[in-house]
Amino acid sequence: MQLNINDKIYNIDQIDSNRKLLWVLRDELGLIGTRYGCGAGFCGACTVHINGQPTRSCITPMSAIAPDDTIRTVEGLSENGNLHPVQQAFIELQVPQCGWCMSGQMMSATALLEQTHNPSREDIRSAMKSNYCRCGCYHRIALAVERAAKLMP
Amino acid sequence: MTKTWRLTRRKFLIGLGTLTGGVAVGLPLGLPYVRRQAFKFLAQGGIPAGSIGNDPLLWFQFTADNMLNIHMTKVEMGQGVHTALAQLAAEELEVPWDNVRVHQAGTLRGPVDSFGTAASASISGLYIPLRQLAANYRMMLSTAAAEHLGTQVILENGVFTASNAKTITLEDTSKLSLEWQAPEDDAPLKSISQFKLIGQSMPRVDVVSKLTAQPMYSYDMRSSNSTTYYGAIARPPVAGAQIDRVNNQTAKAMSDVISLVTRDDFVGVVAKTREIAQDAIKSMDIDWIMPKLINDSDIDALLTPTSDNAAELKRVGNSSSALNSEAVILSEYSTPMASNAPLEPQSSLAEMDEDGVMHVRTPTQFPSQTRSAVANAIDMDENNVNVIPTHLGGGFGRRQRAESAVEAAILAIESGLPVHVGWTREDEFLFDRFRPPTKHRLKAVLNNKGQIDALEHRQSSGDVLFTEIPTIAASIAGSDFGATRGIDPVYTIPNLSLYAHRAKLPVDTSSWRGLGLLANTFANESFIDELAHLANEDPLQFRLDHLSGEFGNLLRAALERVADMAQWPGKIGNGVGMGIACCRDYGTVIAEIVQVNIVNNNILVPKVWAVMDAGLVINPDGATNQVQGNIIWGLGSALKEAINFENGRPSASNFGDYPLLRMDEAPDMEVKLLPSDRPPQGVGEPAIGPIPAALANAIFAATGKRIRKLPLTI
Ligand code: FES
Ligand code: FES
Repeated sequence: MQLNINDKIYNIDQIDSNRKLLWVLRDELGLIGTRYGCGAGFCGACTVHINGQPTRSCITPMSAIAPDDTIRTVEGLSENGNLHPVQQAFIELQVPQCGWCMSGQMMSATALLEQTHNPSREDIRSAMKSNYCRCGCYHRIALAVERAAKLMP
Repeated sequence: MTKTWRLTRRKFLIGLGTLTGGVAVGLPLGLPYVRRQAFKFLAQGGIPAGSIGNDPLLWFQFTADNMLNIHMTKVEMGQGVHTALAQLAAEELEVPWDNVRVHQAGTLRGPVDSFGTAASASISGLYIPLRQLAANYRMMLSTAAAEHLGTQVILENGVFTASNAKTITLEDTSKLSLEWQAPEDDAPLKSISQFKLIGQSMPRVDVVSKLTAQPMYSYDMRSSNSTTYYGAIARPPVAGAQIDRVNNQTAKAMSDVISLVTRDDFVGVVAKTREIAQDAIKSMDIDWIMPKLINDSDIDALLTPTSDNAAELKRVGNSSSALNSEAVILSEYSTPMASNAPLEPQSSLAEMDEDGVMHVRTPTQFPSQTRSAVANAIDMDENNVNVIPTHLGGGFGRRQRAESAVEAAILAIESGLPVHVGWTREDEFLFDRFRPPTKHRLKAVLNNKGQIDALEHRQSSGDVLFTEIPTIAASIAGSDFGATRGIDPVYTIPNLSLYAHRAKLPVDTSSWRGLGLLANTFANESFIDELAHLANEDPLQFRLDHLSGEFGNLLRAALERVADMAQWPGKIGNGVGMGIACCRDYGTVIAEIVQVNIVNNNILVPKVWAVMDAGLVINPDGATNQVQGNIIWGLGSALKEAINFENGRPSASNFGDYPLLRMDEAPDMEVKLLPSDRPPQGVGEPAIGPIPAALANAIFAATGKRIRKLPLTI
C-alpha cells in the first residue's frame, strides 16, 4: 500500500490491516517523532494529522487509511530546514521537560492554529486538554501556543 | 600521544559520605540514638551525590572544531541536569557556551556514577566537585599552553594567547604530547561575582532535539548496523505470580516469530514486529502459581501510626507529658498509593557487539545498578556490559530500576540478535512500584498565648527506599528515610516528637517524586492550619510567629514574599478562598499559595503562587520550569491520583482509570526564586510538598470544610 506522509510517498508491502498507524510510523518507517504513551487514545502523545485533522495514531488501524489520505507527522512540521512557528515558540519559551509528550502537543497546537488564527486562552485549553503532559508543562504550553499564533504567517 | 595522569601524590577529589558510614559510627551509642542521628543526617541533606572520578579526560574532550564534549554521568529526564552541569563545567573551563556539547556517558566509558540521578541531589552534590575538576583541568591546560608557547598565556573564548601574540586552541593544547600532571593543589574556583554562565538561564541543551523528532529516548532506539527485532515477555496476571507450566506450540508455529526463550521464571519471544511478538505471547497457554491476592483492606490494616514498633525520629523537650492535657488537638490524615506514570513507558534495546560486549540502551536513573542487574541476569562480567542511559520520557523515581534492560538483554543473548523490548502502558501500571500509602496522626497543645506548646507527628508508611537497601541496614535505620522526608516541621516548638512506623506491605512501593515529602507536608501543613484557626490567628501570621533560626528566617522571607504576590488573604467566602503552606526540603525552602473556587462541589484552582529559596540557582528558567511542573504534580495528587488494590490488581490499567491533570484544569501560576548566595540546593522536587496542604487549606477558607484525606473531594 501507498502512504502519503509529509508530502512523501512511502510504499509498504504486506501490511497487516489491523496494525496501528503509530507502530507502522515508528517501527516500519522510522518516523519515531510520533510517540507512544498509552495506546488507547487517552494521552495524545501519538497525535498526527490525517487530512489536516488531529488524529490519535495509536488507535487508527491501517485499514482506516484511504489511498488519497494525507498524513502529517511532527517530522513534517519544519519545511526546508525552517522550523514551524509552533516549534519556534516552544523553543523560545523552553517548554519541554522530559519532552515525550511534545510532538503530540505541537501537532494539536498546529491543528488548532491552522483553523483558528487568534485563539483565546479558553480555545487553547479546550483544544489541548486531551494532550497529557506528565511533567506538568501546561502553563508554558499555553503561553507557547499564544506566541506561535503571533508567529504564524 | 602519551598522556599519563600523576594522581598518586594527592587525590584531588574526595568522594562524599554515605549513610552506612554515619550509621556504623553511631552504633555503640544504642539503636534509638543511631536512628535519630541517621534521621538528622539525612534530613539535613546527607544524600550522597555519587563520586565523579578524578580524571578530567573522562568528562571533557576537545574536538577538532574546538568544541568541548562533556560526558555526563547524570541522566537527563527533563529536569535540565545536563544543561546545568554543562554550565558548571564550561564556567570553570572558560569555554564559550556555544562550543559546548553534551553526551550521556555509558557505564563502559566511565566515570560510573555510584549513586544515580535522584533526590534532586545532582547539582547540589556536583556543584563543587565538577567545577573543581574543570578548574584543575583548565590549570593543567594553561600550564601546558604556557610551556608550549614559552610565555604567560591568557584564555579567552577557548583560545590561549601568549604575550608574544602566539595562540593555541584548547583542543590543540589538550593534544600536546606532554607529561600531564594533576595540580598539586586545587586550582582556585571562581567567585560568584566572576560567574558568566552560572546563574544565567541558558537555553537547555536538549530542547531543540526534543522538539524536532530526534531519536533520543529508549523507545526510539534501533540497532545502527543491523535489523532490529522486537521482544515481548509473558507477564503474570498479577505481580508476584510465578510460571507453573507453559504451552507455546501455537507460538512456535507462527511465522515471523524468530525465537522463543524460556528460562526459570521467564518466557519471552523475539519476532520481526512488536505486534507479532505480543501476539505470540498471547497465544501461549500459561498456568500461573498465584500469590495471595491483595485487597485495599489488607494494606490499610498494616498502616498503624500508633504502633509500638514505630521508630522515634526526633525528640525535643517532653511532648508526651504536655500532650496528656485535656486540651489536646488531634487530627488524622492519609494519602493513597499513587503511580509515577512517566509518559514514556519503559523500553530497552540490547545488542551484543563482535567483541562480546553487551550494549543496553535503557531509561535508567541508576546506570551502575542496572549494569549489575543485566550482568547478573545474563551471567556476564560487569565490565562487558555497557549500560547507556538514553533521555528519559520522565523518571520521577520509577526509573530507579529498568526491568526492560534485563529482559532485552536476555532475549538478545539467547537469540543472538539486537532486540528491543517495549513495555505497554498496561505493563507500566500493573508492574508499577507505587508511592506508598501513608497515615498520619498528629497531636498538639497550644499555650495560653495561642502558640504551639507541644506537637507529635506519628506516621506510618509503606517502604520508599528500603525496597532498595539491604534488610540489615533497614532494621538499623528503623524508619525509611525516604518515607520520612519532610516530616520535621520547620517551626520552633518547645516540645516536639516525631515517630515513623514502617509498614511492610504486600505490594511493591518505592520512590515517587519527592518521596515522603508530599504526604508528610500534607499532614504537617494542614495541621498547622487547623491550629492557626483554633488559635484564632491568620494562618500566615501563625506560621511566621513560629519561625526562628536560619531556615526559619529563609522561610519567613519566602512566606512574606508569596503573601505579597498573592495579596494574601485575598477574597474569602462563597466558595472562594486562598490557602497557604510551606516546607523545607533539605536546603531548599518553599512557600506556596493556592486559590480555590468551588463550583457545584467541583474544586477549581485558578491560580497558584510559589516562592522558593534554593540557594544559588544555576539556571533560573530551568528551575522555574521544575517548580511549575511540581505545582501540577501536587495538584494532580491533591485532586485525582490514587491507586487501590482489588484481587491483587491495581485499580488502574491505563489512563482511563488513572486520569492525570489536564491543561484545562491547570492553574495560572507565578513563580519567584529568591536570590541567594548559599550553595545550590535541590530544585526538582521541593515545590510538590506544600501544594496539597495549601489546596486543602484553601478549601477550608472557602467552605469551612477540613479535608484530611487525599485525593481531596467535597
Ligand atoms: S498513545 Fe495514542 S493517545 Fe496515548
Ligand atoms: S514534557 Fe514530559 S510529558 Fe510533557
